[in-house]
Amino acid sequence: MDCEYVQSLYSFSKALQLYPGRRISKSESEDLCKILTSSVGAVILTPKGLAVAEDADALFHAELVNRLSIPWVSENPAPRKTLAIVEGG
Amino acid sequence: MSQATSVDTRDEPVLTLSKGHGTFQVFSKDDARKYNLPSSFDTVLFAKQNPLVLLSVAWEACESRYSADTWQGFDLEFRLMQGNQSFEPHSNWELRLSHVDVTPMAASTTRFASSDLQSIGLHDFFTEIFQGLRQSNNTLRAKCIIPLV
Repeated sequence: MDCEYVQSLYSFSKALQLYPGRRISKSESEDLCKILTSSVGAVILTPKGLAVAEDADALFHAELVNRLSIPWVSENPAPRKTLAIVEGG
Repeated sequence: MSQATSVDTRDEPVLTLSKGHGTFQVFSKDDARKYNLPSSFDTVLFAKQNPLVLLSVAWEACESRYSADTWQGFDLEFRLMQGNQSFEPHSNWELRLSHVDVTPMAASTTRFASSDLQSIGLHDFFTEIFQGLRQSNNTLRAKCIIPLV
């Protein structure tokens, strides 16, 4: 991820994985397991990002808003498709 | 199986876990101050290996401060409480997520074997957390992203 203060980016998802697409409620948010298994991934911030947490938070969230504030999750499961390759004679 | 017992006093650990490699203890929120843990300290995360490692994780939802209709974010803060000197990340470890406040602890503990995590990025994620904690003054921050439709 081309973003200052970001050390690593991890995907927790598998191909064609389904997510409920709903917000974690306040009561559910007390369960770290729930948070981790509901997440598509996580970003680890650099120690520099920790040292200047306020700036890092603002910059990082601005990047997320810019990149993820689009409908990036399909509301319906994506159908499997078969691709046939025909060799010409 | 691990053995877990809860002790319901302020000055005592709320939980002691013991298994072949040794024994370590989980402390109450009040005791968390001894370890300079965040005030929001709520849950501990165990990584079991030889030696044992004990992490604390604090988190809060972070999306409310920003406009985010298509995702929900959580700030995670990891701190090492114990085992930071000699721990070497390895492929064979186990995570146990437990809420400190819940009694009995054993009933509330979620366990992940490292093999369970191999197929998703959580294994590599926590391996880097372990490695990073040894190099970053024992504190690391991460952000989880939950998709919304």
